[in-house]
Amino acid sequence: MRFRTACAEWLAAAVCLGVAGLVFQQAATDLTEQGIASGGPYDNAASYPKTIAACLIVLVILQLGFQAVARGSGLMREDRDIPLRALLRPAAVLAVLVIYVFVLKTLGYYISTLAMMAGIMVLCGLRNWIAIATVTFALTFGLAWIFEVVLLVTMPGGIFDLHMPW
Amino acid sequence: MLPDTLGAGLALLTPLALGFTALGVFFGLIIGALPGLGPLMGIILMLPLAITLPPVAAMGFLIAIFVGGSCGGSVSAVMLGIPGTPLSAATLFDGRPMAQKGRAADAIGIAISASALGGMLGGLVLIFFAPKLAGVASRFAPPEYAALAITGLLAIVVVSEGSLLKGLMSGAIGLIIATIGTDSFTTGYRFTFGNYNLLDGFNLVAIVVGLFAIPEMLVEIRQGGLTDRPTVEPVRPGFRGLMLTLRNWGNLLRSSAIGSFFGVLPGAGGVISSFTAYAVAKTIAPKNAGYGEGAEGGVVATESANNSTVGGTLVPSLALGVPGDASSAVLIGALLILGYFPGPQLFVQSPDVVSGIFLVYFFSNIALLVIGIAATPLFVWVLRLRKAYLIPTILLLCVLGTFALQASLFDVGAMLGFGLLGIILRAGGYPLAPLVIGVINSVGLAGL
Repeated sequence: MRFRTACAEWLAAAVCLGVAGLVFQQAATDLTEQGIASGGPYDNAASYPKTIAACLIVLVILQLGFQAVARGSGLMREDRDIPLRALLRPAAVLAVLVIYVFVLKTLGYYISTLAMMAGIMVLCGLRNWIAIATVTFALTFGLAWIFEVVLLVTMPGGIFDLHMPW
Repeated sequence: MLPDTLGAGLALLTPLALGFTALGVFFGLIIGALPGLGPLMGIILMLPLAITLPPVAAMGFLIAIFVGGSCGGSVSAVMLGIPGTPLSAATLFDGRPMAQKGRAADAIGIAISASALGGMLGGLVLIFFAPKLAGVASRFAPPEYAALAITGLLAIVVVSEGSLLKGLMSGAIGLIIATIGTDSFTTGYRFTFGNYNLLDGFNLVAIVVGLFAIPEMLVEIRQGGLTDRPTVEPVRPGFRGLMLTLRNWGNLLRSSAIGSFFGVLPGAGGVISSFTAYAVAKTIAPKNAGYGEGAEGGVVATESANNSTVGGTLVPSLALGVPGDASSAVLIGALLILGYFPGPQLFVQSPDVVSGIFLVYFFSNIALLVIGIAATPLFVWVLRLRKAYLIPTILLLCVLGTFALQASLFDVGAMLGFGLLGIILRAGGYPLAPLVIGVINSVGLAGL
């Protein structure tokens, strides 16, 4: 299986259209209900974002049009194919990061960070468990010390309320 | 302007500001030396820490990372033959051959000395041109401010790599993102979806860290070689490099002038200036100067040009609020977070802060010379670190740095969300810097 870069272009264009669509949807519902999407230009909080969103839609249409013309006339550079296998590792690291952010509040900084660091190092291909454990513990606790003691930021304690008595 | 406010600026040059400037140079050199990373990534990673500092210390820290990062790439260019940043690509021409001839210490010494001296010459351009430009701009009325806001948007055009249309789309998304929160005219809530965390909109740090750092790390992972340990010979340069650089003083002055000129032009940047300076130096030099085979003049030209660009880039950034590249866009964002609006009013309302920024810029170049030469063995050692250790460390720094801003897990989630947006846009060939410029420029544009 391979991933075509053209798919990414379509996905990005869809995101742009989604953002623009959301602006119009919110202007027609939430902003109207608040009474701020009506009246003249000076009291219309929807006019500026709607203008930008309209420009964005025009730009997306232009981009897709140019793309279609270039593809049709053979001027478009060849789409690159990336083997899906090459994307597995970055996708797995991203998944670990997403899970980490979701469980940070529940499990607390120390438990979730130790697991996240070790997990990413293993995904990156490290197999020396002593090195992984040393670096993981050193960074997790070292950075926590800097942020908690120097910058006075309290890390999430989680359901176990884990905090270091620095 | 400077003589009037020099004293006030000096007063802001506290030990804290000087210490963080030196630390910034040190960190910048390390992050610049690591292939794949660079001054922009350094500034982004340290942005959350910087904005907890007083304004001059904060800007000194970030500018010093810019200065150190612009030079650090030359260490890996000389030692590994891989430029740590695109800024040092032209340094490969002569820096690498010098190392292959057993003159790695001289090559690094020259690169650091030329960078520091070029940076100082770029600083003179900053000091003389920025106040004059701001002086002209301070007489602006609303129509001129409207033109300035639109000029700011033009920065989107010049930093758009690849497709201009995609750059404009990226910028438009940035402008829309900036509208999230409480509307300043009607005080109504726009696009908050009933979430109180969005009443002030998204935090700029969460946007910048997510957009740039997360996709960059994933690209590094995809490229592989994560457990490889590069073989690098130890090297210890001395101040001999400074003497060798000064021996090429004509080349140094000319290349710094080229770099400063390109810096002032929004979008031109250090890469173009270093290649141009190299081409000019090679053309002017005698045929037997050995350019491309390890000529000292080649390293002097490229490194002095790309570091003097930093000073030039800060001219439109500070005086007009128009960023010249992605790094200066983030610096403008930092100033905004600190409560200062870059542009002519900054020079009128906070001349002491402006003078302080000028002074820390100069100090960062002095620190670059001293720290760069003294700590080069350490930077060379850093080149041996495996990416498998660096990537999780940087990802953890992204999370902690974003969380530390307001002790908010929402900001961390937003950072990750912008990371996903960055991955999609980058994969689709959309430049990310215009999005940041869009967010920053929306402040002025929405008021038109």
